[in-house]
Amino acid sequence: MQTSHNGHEAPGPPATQDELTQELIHDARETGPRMRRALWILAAIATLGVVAALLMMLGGLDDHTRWKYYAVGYFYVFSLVMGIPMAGIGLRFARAQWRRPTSRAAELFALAGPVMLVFFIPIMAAHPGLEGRNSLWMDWRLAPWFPDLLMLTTFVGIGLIFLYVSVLPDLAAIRDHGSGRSRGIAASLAYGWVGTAQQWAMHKSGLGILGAMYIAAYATTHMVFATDYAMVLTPGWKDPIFPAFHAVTGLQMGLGLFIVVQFALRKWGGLARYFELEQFWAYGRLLLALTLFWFYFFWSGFILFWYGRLPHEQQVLALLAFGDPAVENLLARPQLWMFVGAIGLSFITAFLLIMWNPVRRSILGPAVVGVIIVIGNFFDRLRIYVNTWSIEQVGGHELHHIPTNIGYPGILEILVFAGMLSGVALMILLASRVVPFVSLWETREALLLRVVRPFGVGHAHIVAKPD
Amino acid sequence: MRDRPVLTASQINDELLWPVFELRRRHVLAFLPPFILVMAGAVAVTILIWQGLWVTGLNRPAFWGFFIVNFVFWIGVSHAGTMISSILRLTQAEWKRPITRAAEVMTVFALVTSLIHPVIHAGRPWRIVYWLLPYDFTRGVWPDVRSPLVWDPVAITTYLTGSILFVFTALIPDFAIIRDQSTGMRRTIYGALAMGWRGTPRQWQLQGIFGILMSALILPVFVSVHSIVSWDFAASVVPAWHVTVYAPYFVIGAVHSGVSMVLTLMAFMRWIFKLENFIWEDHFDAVGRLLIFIATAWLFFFFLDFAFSFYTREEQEIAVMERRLLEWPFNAITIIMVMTSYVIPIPLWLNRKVRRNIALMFWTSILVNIGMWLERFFLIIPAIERKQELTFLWANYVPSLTESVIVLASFGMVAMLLIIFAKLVPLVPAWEQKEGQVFRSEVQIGEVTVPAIVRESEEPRAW
Repeated sequence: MQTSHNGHEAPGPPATQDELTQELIHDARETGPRMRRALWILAAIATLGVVAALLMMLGGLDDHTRWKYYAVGYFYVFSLVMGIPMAGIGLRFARAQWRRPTSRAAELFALAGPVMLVFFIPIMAAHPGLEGRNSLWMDWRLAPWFPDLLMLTTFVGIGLIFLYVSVLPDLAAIRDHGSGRSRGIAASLAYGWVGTAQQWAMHKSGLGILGAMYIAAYATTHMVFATDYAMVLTPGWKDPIFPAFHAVTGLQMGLGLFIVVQFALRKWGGLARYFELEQFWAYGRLLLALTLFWFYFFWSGFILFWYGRLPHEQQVLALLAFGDPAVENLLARPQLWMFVGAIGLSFITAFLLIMWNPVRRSILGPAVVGVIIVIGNFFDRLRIYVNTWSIEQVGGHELHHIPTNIGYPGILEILVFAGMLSGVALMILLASRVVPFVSLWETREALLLRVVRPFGVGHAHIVAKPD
Repeated sequence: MRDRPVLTASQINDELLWPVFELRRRHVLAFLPPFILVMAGAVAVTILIWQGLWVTGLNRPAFWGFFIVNFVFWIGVSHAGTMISSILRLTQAEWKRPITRAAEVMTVFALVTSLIHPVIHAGRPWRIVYWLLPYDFTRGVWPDVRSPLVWDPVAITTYLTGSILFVFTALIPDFAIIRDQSTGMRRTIYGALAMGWRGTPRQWQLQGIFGILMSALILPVFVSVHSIVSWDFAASVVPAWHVTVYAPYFVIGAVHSGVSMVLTLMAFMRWIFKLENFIWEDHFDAVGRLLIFIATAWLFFFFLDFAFSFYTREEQEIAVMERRLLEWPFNAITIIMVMTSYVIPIPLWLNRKVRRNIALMFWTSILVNIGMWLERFFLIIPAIERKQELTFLWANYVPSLTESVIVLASFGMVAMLLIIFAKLVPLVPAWEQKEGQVFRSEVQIGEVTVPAIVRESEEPRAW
């Protein structure tokens, strides 16, 4: 390996079709003792999380303020993981060639859906209902429980079907070239895929339609969650940009986590050949754009409340950003510190780092910014959900009292949070025992579409555009 | 797929520069209709200034009418240039090459046209200066810098300055081409405009760096301009205007109308200037795909605005929505707007054959622009016609003939300026076409030859 001017190791010669098959079907499928141990530990924590959630439900559903940290944990993990498949879907729509080695890793996060569905049931049950409150559901008696559950189930279902369609050609390849247990599973899932022209055409259409459906489901699920599980609980809060902010911040933190995952796969997963500088650089640019969007969507809502000076909007600003103005000691305003943490890390620090090309154009830079964004957005979900779920009187048109006693999470809430994260990691690692983290069919296609030729005094990359 | 023509540098010059050196009948014929519209508009403006604002349909409390609607619409259209040039340049979309200049120039002309509207709307245009300069030093009356009405001119003039710089820099290599092919006074003028361009590696490098820098710098301006225009409305307490989603909703609507207008312009350029070798079906296909995404994002924000107007069930807000949805003529406007902005064009654009049919793309782009103009009307007018906390009256706004003529003239003005511009400089950048020819390539995959492009790269890339 050579070292290039920016300090990262330059890639080796391009992989051949045979090397891809060898690396992605055989080498990466081996489950060693460390992996087995990790899977067992994750399964144990995820089970503990489910048990903790059940214990919380047994403790009572009448007082919704008890569930505030559960809500923070749930909506943070939901936002963090459910947007990651969009990195694969969106870039496929944009026909970005560089995304090819990374799309599968992104799409595997659709497997987080069932975990999110399981942990949604307690928070749904703890919702205080919409009677006498503002609502998008026009006094529908089954709302928000039934439509929200239906929405999430649809979203999760679309994600799983999308993932299945995406991995189908790889399952067939594993069936034909693999060995061991993964081969058996792949054979039973691959049906009659043999790669005929008609199958490929249907595969392409299917990915397009399901991808569009996933994007629509992502936007609508964020819309109803942000409204029903935060805005509705706050008297006087009417903020149509908030659902869009919720969705965009979900994308930003999701991409942040995804870059960190790529960094880990590169460093410890033996996939350095696929997660290259090119990918980190390009994702760094996307992260910059999403970081700017974070601020834009925040500011679009904030400036109207701040400028409008309407009393009920000032109360919402106090709840979500500045804390109770009656409390003179700024250190005693928890809302202020959550807000500073959110905007300081998710936007200011992240932007000041990722705006520089040398930071984006490195392996470590985007990964570090990704970590900062993941932490910053935790503060953001904390400020949104812990404050809104702390309000006792959720009816009326104006918030009269800013909650100051927001407390700390108990052991059960911490276990639930850890359980959700472990459940997601477990699902993805289990799936990776069957299908590779790098899409075989997409990378093989990339090899066909890309050629290196002499150009002027150097070499140029020729990228074929078949469509 | 249509075979992509291979052209030599001199063929590109011949096919693109003819409008500069010749005056053909079709150029004159294209110029006449917008010129007549502009003349009619000039007469209408003269009548308005001479007679006063009573010749308009403005009244209390509907102080804002067609002029403000049209102002917002043209600001929106101006977003096309930045969208096409800046974002597509940063994303290295190869298909942008033939349409960048037309889009950028349309940005400038749309901005100029939009800026005229508040001046006309003032009735006594000279008084517009009081918004920006001290009214009376001795009385200490100053413009309120906290007012969005002051933010507007600042944002728009910044955008206009940036857009002119953007256009001018990209024009320099073409000025040099015209200079080298001209004699006499034309050579002198284009020589001065080319500023000593010889096409040295350093000049190309600087030009490239400037293009990237401007693309990145103008993006925040691009977003802020229409956001600030939206805050003209949203920062007030008028029901149905005081909505947090207005800024992104206005921006995405602007991009929707602007990119559709580029589509209209592409078809016109192909027909009037015979640019079939440069603007292909592929380009319409690519813009069509982009528009599907933009229109769907627009629909999402439209839905947010719509759904949340019923969220708090406030009487005044419901009244505005009832007016928008149930009362004539707004109910018809709402239906036409939704149909023409989304329901009709999107299912059509989802079909690849339609996206590659230039006539259909042209007419659907016209539909979108009708819809987006009506959307501005839908958003602005019904909200101020009814009694609210700060007004004591209600009245209907009925636009007058004078206003309607001025609105039509604004379309004529943008078209006329574009046609005049096309007489002076090629609407398709010759240097970008030549660069595109250098970067084009082909890759053999099995028995099929697939079109390909060369990607510049300083480092070896694995993928």
